[in-house]
Amino acid sequence: MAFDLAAAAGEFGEELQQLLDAVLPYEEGVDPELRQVTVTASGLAFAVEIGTAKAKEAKAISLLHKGNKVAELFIQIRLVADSVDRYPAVAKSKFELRVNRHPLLRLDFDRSMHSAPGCHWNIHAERCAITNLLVRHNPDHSGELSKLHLPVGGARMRPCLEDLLQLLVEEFRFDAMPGARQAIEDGRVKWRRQQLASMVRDDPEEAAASCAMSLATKSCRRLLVPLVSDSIDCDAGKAANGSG
Amino acid sequence: MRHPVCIGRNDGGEHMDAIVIKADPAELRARRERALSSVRLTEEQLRARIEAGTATPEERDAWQEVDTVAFLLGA
Repeated sequence: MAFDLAAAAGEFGEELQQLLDAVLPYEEGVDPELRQVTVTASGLAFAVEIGTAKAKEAKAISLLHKGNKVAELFIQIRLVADSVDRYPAVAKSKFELRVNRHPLLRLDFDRSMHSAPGCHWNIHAERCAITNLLVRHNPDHSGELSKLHLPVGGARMRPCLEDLLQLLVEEFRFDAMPGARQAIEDGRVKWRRQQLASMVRDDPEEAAASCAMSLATKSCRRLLVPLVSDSIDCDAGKAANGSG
Repeated sequence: MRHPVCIGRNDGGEHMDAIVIKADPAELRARRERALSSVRLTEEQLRARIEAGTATPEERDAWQEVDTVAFLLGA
């Protein structure tokens, strides 16, 4: 079973590699193995990082503009066995947009986090009005915007890496591979299907009830539409006949 | 273990295979030591700076390394 889990973690890494290679071009003159997705397996735990096999430490991916490095994307994902040891599940992830190692945007997920929303953005910027509000009303807060946890969607409906990649190539206009948009869209569809399946497994009764309701509504519609149509025809006929 | 394979180029881009490696405890400990020595701090000192929010970007990266090693060694 553990072997299968390792194979599944490897597939996860391969999908990540394919996504990154389909969206972000490599930096010329830099060893491509420093951008290799590395899955380090330890029992039922897996660290998914970039470049670790070659560099012996996690590396960030260069983000380019007209071929020149202008920023970095740091990706780190930790997988553990799910509750039945059948699938690798993301326990923690960190996606960071950086400049010279300084984070600008961070999308953090930690499914065991309870003191803050499990999935949140941190924005490394300054805004006096927010700082004033925080320090004035929360004596425990430093007032730094970067320490504000902006919640997004929870574990199942959190943004995926594809969402962040879209932000990078469409809004920041970092260099992108031809076909990047399609790769992003395809990956996002797959992610959302996986998350939907997970949500159904989380609460199959609610999912079944929702399906039953949907089917019942469709059946009702099939039954009601002819009746309503008849009624409208009938009313129209009455109106035409000057009756009613 | 799968080895890295460069499977081709497309518009200047390399295409890699992901690699799966089995964690080696000795290598992981060495990785942690490299991270700590790069910032010249003990694990406790580094943790304190992270928790206080006073860590530099280099220290944050070193902490990531230490934290990853702890995750893998603890599994």
